[in-house]
Amino acid sequence: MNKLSVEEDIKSITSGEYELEFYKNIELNIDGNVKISSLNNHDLKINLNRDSIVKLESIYLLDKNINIDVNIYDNVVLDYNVLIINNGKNKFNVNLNMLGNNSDVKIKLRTINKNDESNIDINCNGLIECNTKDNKLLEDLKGLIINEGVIKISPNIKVLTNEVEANHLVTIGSFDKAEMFYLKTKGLSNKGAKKLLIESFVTSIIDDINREKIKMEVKNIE
Amino acid sequence: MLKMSDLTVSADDKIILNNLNLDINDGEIHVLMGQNGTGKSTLSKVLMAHPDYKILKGNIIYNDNVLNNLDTTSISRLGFFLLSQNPVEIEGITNSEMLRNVLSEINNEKVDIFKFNKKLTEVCNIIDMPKEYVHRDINFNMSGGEKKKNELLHLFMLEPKFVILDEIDSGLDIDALKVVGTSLKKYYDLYKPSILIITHHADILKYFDDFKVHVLNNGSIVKSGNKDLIKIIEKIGFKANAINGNDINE
Repeated sequence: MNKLSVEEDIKSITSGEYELEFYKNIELNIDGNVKISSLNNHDLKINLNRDSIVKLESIYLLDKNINIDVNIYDNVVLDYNVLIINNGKNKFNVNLNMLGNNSDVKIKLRTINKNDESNIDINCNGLIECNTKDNKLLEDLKGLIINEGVIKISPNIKVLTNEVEANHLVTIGSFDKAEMFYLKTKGLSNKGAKKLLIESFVTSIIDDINREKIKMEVKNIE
Repeated sequence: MLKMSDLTVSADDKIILNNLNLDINDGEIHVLMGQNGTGKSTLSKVLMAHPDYKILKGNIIYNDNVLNNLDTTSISRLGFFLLSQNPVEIEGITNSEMLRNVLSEINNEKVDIFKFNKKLTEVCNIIDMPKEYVHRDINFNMSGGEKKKNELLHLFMLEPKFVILDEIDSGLDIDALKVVGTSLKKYYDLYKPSILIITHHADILKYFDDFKVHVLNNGSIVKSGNKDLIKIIEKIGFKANAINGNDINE
C-alpha cells in the first residue's frame, strides 16, 4: 500500500491502494478502482466519480466533532468501513449523497466510548436524490457499550425517488452473552474475555495494516 | 471424580433436570443419550455454570470441589472443557490469539511463542487441520466440520482433564467424523481424561473401546448400562415405557 500525504485542499486519486495521511480538512476526487485506508481526525469531502469502485476504511480516535460528506455519482460501488473510538463529548456526521444512478453503497460503522465520561452522537444520513434510479444503500451501524459512556446512533435515510433499495441496521448493546460464556469455558476471566471482545469489535471491520495500532489503543479500556 | 447428586435444575422457572444422579470416575468415558428436549445439552451447560440455569437442589462435586457456586472460568480452570454442538463464531479474534491469552492468564506468565507454535503445528498434524487455521478468526465462516476441528485444536492446546462433548457428531460427514473420532481417541490415549459424550447416535462411539451408557428422560437418568445398552437403544429407540420397564433383555 502506498503512503499518500495530502497537503493541498483538493486532491484527485485514481486507481491504486493508498494509506492516506492528512492534517487538515480536505476534499478528494476519486476515479477508478481505489482502496484507501486512513487514520485521522479531520472533516472530509469525497466525490466518487462515475464507475469508481472504492473501498474506504476510516479510523477516528475522536476528540472533536467531525463531518464527512460523500457525493456518489453513477455506477459507483462503495464499501465504507468506519471505526470511531470516542474520547469526550463529540458528534460524528456522515452524509452519503447518492446523486446518480445504479450505485451500490454499504457503510459499516462501529463505535465505542473510551471512558465513562465520553458521549458520542452519530448521524448517518443517506440521501437518495430525486430523478435517480436503481441505487442501493445499506447502513450497518453498531455501538458497543463497555462503560458508563453514552452512545447515540441515528440512521437517517431520505429517499426522494421510487426505484431504490435502502436499509439500515442499528445495534447498540453490551457484550454478547454467548460469546462471553464461550470464552470463559476456555478459561478466560471476565476481564480477559471482555478485553478480547473489545478487540474483536474494533478490528472486525479494519484491515491488517491498522489492527495492531488499534489494539494498542483499546488495550486499557475496561 | 465427578459426582452429581439429586441434581435439580431450572431455567425460566421450568424444571429441566430432576433429581439427576451420576458419578464419573477419573479416566472413564460416559455416554448420555436420550430424545430431544430431555435435558442432555442442559446438563453440559450446567456443568460449566451457564448463567441461564439455576441449581435448585443437589450438588455437583469434582475432586472435593463443590461446583454449584463456582463461575464458568473457575470450573474451566479446574480442567473442564465443553465442546458444544454449535460453537459460537467470533470475528476479529484468531484462535492463536485466544489460546495465547488463555494460557497466559492461567499460567500467569507470558507464553513462550516458540513452544506454543511448535505445539500448534503438532496438534494441526494430529487433527488433520491446515496450520493457517490457527490464524483464522474463531469458528468464523467455517463449515460444521471445520468448527469441530477448530474446537479440537483448542482441546489439544488446553489439555483439559474433564471433556464434555455435546453432540460433537451432529452435522459431520463420514470423513469428518473419522477425523474427529480418531483425534478424540488419540487425546484420550494421551491424557486419559474423563469424557462425557452427549449424543443421539452411536457413530462416534465406535472410536472408543469401553464406556458406560445412560439414558436421560424428563431430566432424570432412567437407565444405565455398559456398551451393550447401545445395541438395545438402536433396536427399540428411546421409547420411555420400554426403557423404564423391565422388559429389556440386556
